[in-house]
Amino acid sequence: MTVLMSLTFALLVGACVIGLVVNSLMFQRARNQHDADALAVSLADKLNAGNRIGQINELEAQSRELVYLSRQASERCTSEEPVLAGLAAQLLEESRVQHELVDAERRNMALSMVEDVQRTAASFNSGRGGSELRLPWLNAAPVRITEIELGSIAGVQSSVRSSKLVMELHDFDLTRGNVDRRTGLFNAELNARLPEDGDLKFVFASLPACIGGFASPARNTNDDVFRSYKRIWRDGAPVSGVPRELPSAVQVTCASDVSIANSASNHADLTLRSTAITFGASADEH
Amino acid sequence: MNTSCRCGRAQSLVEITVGIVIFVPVFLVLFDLSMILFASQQNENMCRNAAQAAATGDPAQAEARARIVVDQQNQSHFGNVIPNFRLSSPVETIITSRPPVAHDLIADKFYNPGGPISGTAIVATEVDVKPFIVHALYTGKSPLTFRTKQSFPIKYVMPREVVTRDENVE
Repeated sequence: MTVLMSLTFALLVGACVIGLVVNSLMFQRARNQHDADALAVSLADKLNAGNRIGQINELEAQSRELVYLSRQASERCTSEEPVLAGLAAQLLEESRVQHELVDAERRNMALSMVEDVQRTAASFNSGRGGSELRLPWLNAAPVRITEIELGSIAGVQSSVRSSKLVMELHDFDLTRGNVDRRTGLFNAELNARLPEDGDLKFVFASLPACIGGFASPARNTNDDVFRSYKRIWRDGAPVSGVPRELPSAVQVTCASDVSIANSASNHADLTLRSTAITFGASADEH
Repeated sequence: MNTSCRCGRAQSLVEITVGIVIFVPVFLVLFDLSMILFASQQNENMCRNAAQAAATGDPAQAEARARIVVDQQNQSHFGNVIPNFRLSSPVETIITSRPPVAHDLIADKFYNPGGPISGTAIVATEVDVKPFIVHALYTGKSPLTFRTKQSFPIKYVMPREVVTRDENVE
């Protein structure tokens, strides 16, 4: 009887210890996921700082219209008003040069975004301000960032609506699939080439549009809808390079050192992932 | 034979009694520790949800949103087991950047052009646990109070609005 009770007691204690370890592991995982989610949102916040993605999208659209109208004016002047042909050609050339400036600024902005995110990641890893857990049966270190990818969220178009002021251009865009028929927004990550100036690149960044004067806030999203442009952080160190398009979302992979019963052999990395999208385009001021 | 039978029964009774005397307090301690662990984990989960709720929306109403989460926890089926979750007022909101007020020269009105607000919402919550026996081992006080604090980045975009002169003065 004594032996039976002792065995039962020992089994009960063993089951409690195993349950405690598993419970603590799951609990720490939930805490680490919260830290990863907060980190992803704060990194995503930096991407559209000052509504820079929204503004560059607007600039792209306006520059595109200017090049189109300048080309039309130049062709009309060449055929109908030869006196003004020279001036029209000069204006066309200027609009093309200015678009190249916009394009260069877009690339510069992508580089600036990468540097902002990398700087924040380095600061986070050096500070390691996340939650940690120290128990006799489980040790879990705060999370550290192992990978960062910049990209966009599937199905999110650009923040710019096609202006119907130039109906010919609007119809052309509808025909070519540059503009979504239902929303009137330019499709993202698509080179909306002009018919005559096909050498110029007109790409609109994916960004939630401003609806009814309200901009969408930065938020966490499902990992499955993230589309990666470029990995900018790997194995705890920055990776050089610039994404091909302006990113509006970030996916962060974090890891936390976990050891059971303070044993060096029972040691593993608990990996977590979180995705967030930046806040949408702000309302137009005019 | 009767004597040996009675001795056998007496031995079993003594063993059971000793077993119960040892087993019941151990069981109560284990139960208390389980309740304490459960309550502190529930408190932390609830605090995380409250911090996320506080960070989503106008910072001026952060405390109201956090309080809703705490009230829901107390009314849930977990609340039937441990009903004493509390929000530690006030909810802290640290704003690091917000859109500046602009002046419309033509209409002579001050307005907020709208835009994202950056910062952190910090929420602290407490839970009271009334154990059977564990508190007598070290403090003697009941209930035991467990406190936790969680933070989350603020995710809010202010809409465009006209501000009065009083609101403009800082």
